[in-house]
Amino acid sequence: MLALSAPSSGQLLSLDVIDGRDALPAAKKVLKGRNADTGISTWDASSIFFEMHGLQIGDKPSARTLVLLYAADVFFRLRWQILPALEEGKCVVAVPYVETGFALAAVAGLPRRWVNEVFRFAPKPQDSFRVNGPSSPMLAAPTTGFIEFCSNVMNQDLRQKFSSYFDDLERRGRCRTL
Amino acid sequence: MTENPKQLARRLCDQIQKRGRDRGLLIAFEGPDGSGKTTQRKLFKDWLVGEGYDVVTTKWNSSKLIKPIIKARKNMRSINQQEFCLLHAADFRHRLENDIMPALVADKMVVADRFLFTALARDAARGLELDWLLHIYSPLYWPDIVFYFSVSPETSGKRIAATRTPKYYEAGQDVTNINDPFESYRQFISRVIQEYEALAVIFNFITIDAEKPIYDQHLLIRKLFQESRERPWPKWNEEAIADWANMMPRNREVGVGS
Repeated sequence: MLALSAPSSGQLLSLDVIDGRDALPAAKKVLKGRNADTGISTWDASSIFFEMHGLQIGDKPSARTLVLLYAADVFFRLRWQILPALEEGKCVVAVPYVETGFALAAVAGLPRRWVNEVFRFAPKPQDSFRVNGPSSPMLAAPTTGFIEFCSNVMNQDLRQKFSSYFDDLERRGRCRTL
Repeated sequence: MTENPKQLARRLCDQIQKRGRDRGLLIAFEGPDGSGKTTQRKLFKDWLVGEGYDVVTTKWNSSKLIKPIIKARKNMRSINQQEFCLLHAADFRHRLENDIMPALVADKMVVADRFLFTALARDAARGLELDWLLHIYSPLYWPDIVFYFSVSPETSGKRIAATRTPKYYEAGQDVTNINDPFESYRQFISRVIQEYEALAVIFNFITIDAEKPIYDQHLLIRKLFQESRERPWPKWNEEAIADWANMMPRNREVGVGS
């Protein structure tokens, strides 16, 4: 499947956060001072994870299943939020975007080639940011953000592992600390 | 000392191979809607139970975790081809990891009413690339036997129309954009069958003429199953076993025949 084509009229910025509570304030910070019309697309706009959390099923999804569900949510956001806003010439912050899916795959030891294929549909952002580290020692509720959701499902606080992934990404010049 | 995922995978693969013809088999029933595969699956399962096998059945899009999510979106007609594919792939993976693999390593017979090939045929008929689909569903666990129930688009259409109006996604109305569900179904199922016929050749399905009498088909399936009992375990399933061992919670005890 080819990547969805992002209209050249707008600007897509990616922002990946460790603490879901940082998502909106950080996205607003990215957009501050920009003259163009702006928009923000946040995690679980499709409500897949919210509904799943409400089901209270004993069998937890594996990391591979979580990546597939995360991809479905990203696709939903692209179709209903991000691409229409870009077509209107807006500057859109996707918080989080595909790197958070790549980070879970890396943390869980899933093959890079597989996750590349899963997210093949996602257009590349023009610029990428990250928010450094967890802002609170306490892990927020599972429905606050994807990392909190995964931590809950996998019974371990994954924030440090995700943070290390983004540290490495930043070292390689693939994103900047906000 | 606890074994790491690699050691666990190696042990499981060795044990499955050693079990030889006593190992659990994965038997998939595939075919378009209206091909009668569910009828045959039920008959076959009852026969297996009568023969003394421990049988587990798994159905398409049936995980407790993801089925309600897909169902709600289908009812709202709010998902497109790619989301449809990703959500079904998640449902499949969840069932594979939680229902199918544990049953197989415990030497149970797993009878799948639709398996991976349903996704490949339907999603390819919706215009998605087969190569991408195979990646999304990887690592792949190949069934020991795939019974493919072959019918013409006309027979499939007639059998469905005799009982009900095809649902929106079943009729492929999301891709045909045809308002009449029967006409949409006729066109969509032709594409699905075309994809199935290609898959049957590539993946060496056992084709059953699903236009034949029900009991004749059932007897043939029994015969073909008995002939297939001698098949060696496909070694290319090792990757899927290794992945499963890696994904599993560390506290779960796993052993063949346990």
